[in-house]
Amino acid sequence: MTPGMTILRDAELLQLLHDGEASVEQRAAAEAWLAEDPAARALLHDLEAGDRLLRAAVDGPLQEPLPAALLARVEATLAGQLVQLSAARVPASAAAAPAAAPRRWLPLALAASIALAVGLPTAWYWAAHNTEQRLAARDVARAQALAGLENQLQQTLETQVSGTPLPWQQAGSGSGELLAVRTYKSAAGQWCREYRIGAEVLGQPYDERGIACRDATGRWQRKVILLDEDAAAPAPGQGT
Amino acid sequence: MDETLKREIVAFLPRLRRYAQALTGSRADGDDLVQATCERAIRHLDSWQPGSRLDAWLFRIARNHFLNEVRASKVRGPQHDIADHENEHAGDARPGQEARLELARVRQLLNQLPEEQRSVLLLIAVEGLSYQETAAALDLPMGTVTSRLARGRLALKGLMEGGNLA
Repeated sequence: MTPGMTILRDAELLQLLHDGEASVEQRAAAEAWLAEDPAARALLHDLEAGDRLLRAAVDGPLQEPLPAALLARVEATLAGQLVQLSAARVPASAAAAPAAAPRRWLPLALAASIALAVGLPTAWYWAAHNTEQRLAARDVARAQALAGLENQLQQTLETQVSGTPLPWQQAGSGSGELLAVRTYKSAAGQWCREYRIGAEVLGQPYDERGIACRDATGRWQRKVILLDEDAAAPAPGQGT
Repeated sequence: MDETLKREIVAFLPRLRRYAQALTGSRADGDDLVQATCERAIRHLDSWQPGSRLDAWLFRIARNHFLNEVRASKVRGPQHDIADHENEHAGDARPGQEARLELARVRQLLNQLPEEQRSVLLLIAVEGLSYQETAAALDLPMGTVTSRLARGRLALKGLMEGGNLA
């Protein structure tokens, strides 16, 4: 500051002092002003009281533990993205499997509707019945595949070191790889692991990453599931 | 280095959350903003300068995301979601309640300030950034930071003393 330059005695000077941004000269000027003028002291007091109130008003997040769900989301983001930065996606070993012809039920449905259109009740009945059966069989196959995958996930999380994939192969269901990416202890003291699944289920790609935590019974419960890069989906209910 | 950075980000989450909730005026939106901020931070790790303040960098990302995405997509009208904070404690009508109501009111008034004043006020008065760090985080000249800070404080005081801007 140029010697001889006067420093304005105004609210801004007190603000600089209050925020710890005053220069040596400004500080001296402010303190002299405060010493002789009660109005200046009142202004400074208002500043301090106002900031205190503001801090108290917004301080909630610092007074409570971080919600586990948020932490899990962030952890998954950080871990998942860092994995992607350093290595490619978990390779689905299913890629090596022969390209099995996907089961097609659509032509059957089409046949059914044609049958309906030309008014052949018997043909329609059989076609529809057949379609339903095929669909039901497919649901069963999918449920079996997902159950197998779930078992393998339990196995992976319970026994595998982070970073060492466990292959999965199930006749008629599909194949792939499961990987525990990292392990941590949640705020609630539960062991949690971030995992990735890269697989093909009934001919369709199935990729999942998420976080599962080990409950008191020793079962790993999914807490967060990310099906693709950004979409966060809530964990499916019981079952699977 | 990544692991260290990750730990630092996680350790910083409570403060990021405080800023995000105060900025958005809502718990849920604030937490979404925290998550989005972390995603962007990881995706733009190359813009992180080791040795600089991690908090200022993350506040900057959060604020930019808020301006670009969150606020732009808001069709929901004013959020009275802030009342969440009150509802949490609605059950206990004990002496502390009056103080809680006052704090809830401050949050509501804060939300009436223009974002440009709110962010400056939060970063300096609450998060303890210097004027210079704030100027860098918000891409503002120092003089603008000082004047927005003064105006923000004045406006908040005016609102609390009963005047309603709207």
